[in-house]
Amino acid sequence: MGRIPKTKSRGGAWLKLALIFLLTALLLFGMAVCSTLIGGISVSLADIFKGIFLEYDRDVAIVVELRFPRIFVSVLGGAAMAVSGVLLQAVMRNPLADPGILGISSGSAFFAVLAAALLPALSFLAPVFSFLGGMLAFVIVSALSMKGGMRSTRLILIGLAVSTFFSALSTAFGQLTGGSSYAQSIVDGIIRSKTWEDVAVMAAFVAAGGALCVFCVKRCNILALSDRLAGNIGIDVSRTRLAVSSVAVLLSAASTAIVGAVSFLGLIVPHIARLLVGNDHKKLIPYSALAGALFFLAADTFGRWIAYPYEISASILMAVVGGPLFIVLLLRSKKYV
Amino acid sequence: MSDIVFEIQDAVFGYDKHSTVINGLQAKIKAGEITAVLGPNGCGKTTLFALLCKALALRSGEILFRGKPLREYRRKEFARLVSVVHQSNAVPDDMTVKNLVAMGRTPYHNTIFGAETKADKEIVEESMELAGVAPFSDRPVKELSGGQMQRVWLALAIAQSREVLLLDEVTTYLDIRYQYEILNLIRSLNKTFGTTVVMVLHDLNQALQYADAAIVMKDGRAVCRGKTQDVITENVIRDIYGITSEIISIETGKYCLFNKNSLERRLV
Repeated sequence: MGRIPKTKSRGGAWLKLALIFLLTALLLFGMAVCSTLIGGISVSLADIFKGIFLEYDRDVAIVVELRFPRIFVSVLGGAAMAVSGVLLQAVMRNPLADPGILGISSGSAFFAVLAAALLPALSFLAPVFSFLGGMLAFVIVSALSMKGGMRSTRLILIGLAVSTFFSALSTAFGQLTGGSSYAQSIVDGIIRSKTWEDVAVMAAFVAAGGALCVFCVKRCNILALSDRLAGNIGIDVSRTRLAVSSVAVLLSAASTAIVGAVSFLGLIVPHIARLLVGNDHKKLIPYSALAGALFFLAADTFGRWIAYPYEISASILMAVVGGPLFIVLLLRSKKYV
Repeated sequence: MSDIVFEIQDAVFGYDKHSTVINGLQAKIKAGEITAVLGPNGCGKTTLFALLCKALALRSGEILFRGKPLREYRRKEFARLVSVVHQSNAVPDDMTVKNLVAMGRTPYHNTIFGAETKADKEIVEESMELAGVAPFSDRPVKELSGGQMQRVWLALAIAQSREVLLLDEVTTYLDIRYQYEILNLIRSLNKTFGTTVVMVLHDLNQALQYADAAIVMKDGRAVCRGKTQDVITENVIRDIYGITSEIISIETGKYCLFNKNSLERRLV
């Protein structure tokens, strides 16, 4: 009992961490290259280089106008959703929290669809409306599950109800307005026909959320302790929870407004990240962003490639992989149910 | 007046409207002393403890901390003066001892930019040294035993404040050696820094050995308080716990003895 096994030297731990980050970054880069080359028009890297910097080429122009924005949207969306998941897991102190499962994405999607139909001129503000919808869903879910001490069963059931409700509203609204393609793509979470303008809007909001994450690192680590202890060291737990979840909702909204509702990404990626870099949010948040980008880009690329010329949307792929994994996690984490 | 740290006046508290757990409790806790809070299960000890650490708010009455009502202290301001250790706490498995102890410096940091200063680091190192956890400061907490973990919580508490320390049954789950290790540590903190200690205890003999003063509770009231030696008597033990005992004095101090015949049949 008294003897403690010798731990690895600190230098070794840092080296391992640096390697994990580096490898993931390399994989992300490799995936971006694959994603650039895969598709109906085949171009080589050399062609692209030539087309961008030397002379105009129609095929290269199509790749630059269609595939590049799509890659950036996937990368930003994946990173934002994964970090949003990490933050929500810290707030709810429950590793099964995810913006999709909790209905936050659906709330965001509904408000984005609503805003797009009613205020089409303000499309660059879509993430702001998404944020409002996401906050509404979050407040409903947390108010209703608070009574049960945020236990998983209650949280997931209420999340499911809220999620289904908002998705249905989005679909109904889409049908009423004659099936606008934006509405449908947001509800289904399809990354298609994204432009550089979408990338700019998304980048601005993700960057804002990312900057706010810097202030969340320490708070998340404190929230991981018990409420009692956090209170004892002078933290206002409710206010801290609200602040961190607002950032989570902002990140999820930035992604949802452009990509649509995506479930399970914010669940799977942080789970893998925890296994690789541990629970310290100083490492967990940046690594989840990196791994989230890789995962979502991989899912989008794979979905474009597997049944070409047909596409399977990245969010469907996430659900196919994430659904079973979610059940495994749920069964394993008995103490949360 | 200044030697009174906590003054509890007619405190009333209940978890719901229909019942009360604390019923007009009166007590004073003196600075620089170790005060033991004693009483049977369900007497309101833990509730009183939660009220003292500002985790719960009174329904009526008042708790003064250094002459000022507790509710007028901001959470952070209070946390710089009073630190708390509970009998058990959840913590992420892979957090290192040092990172956990460093959490004790949180109330000294700006809310927005909470950077650890050099002075913080020194206080954290010193606290780990005092609590005897410095040798495993880089280890993750999951590798520690219960007794080592409890010393880590104490290190966090003394990194936070050496003025007032509130301890809730901190020895309950420990084996006898670790119990005395922790109690000796608390005693030495009290001697070295003049730390005021309030501890909820179950073991009357430990109270007799370590506490200067005692508050004995029953049904949400303080039925007697004063010097531990005077408060713990055969009569008080019979009234409070419904059990007979024999108190003996030998050269190392006073001890309560119990045996299988101690239970009074009429109370069973």
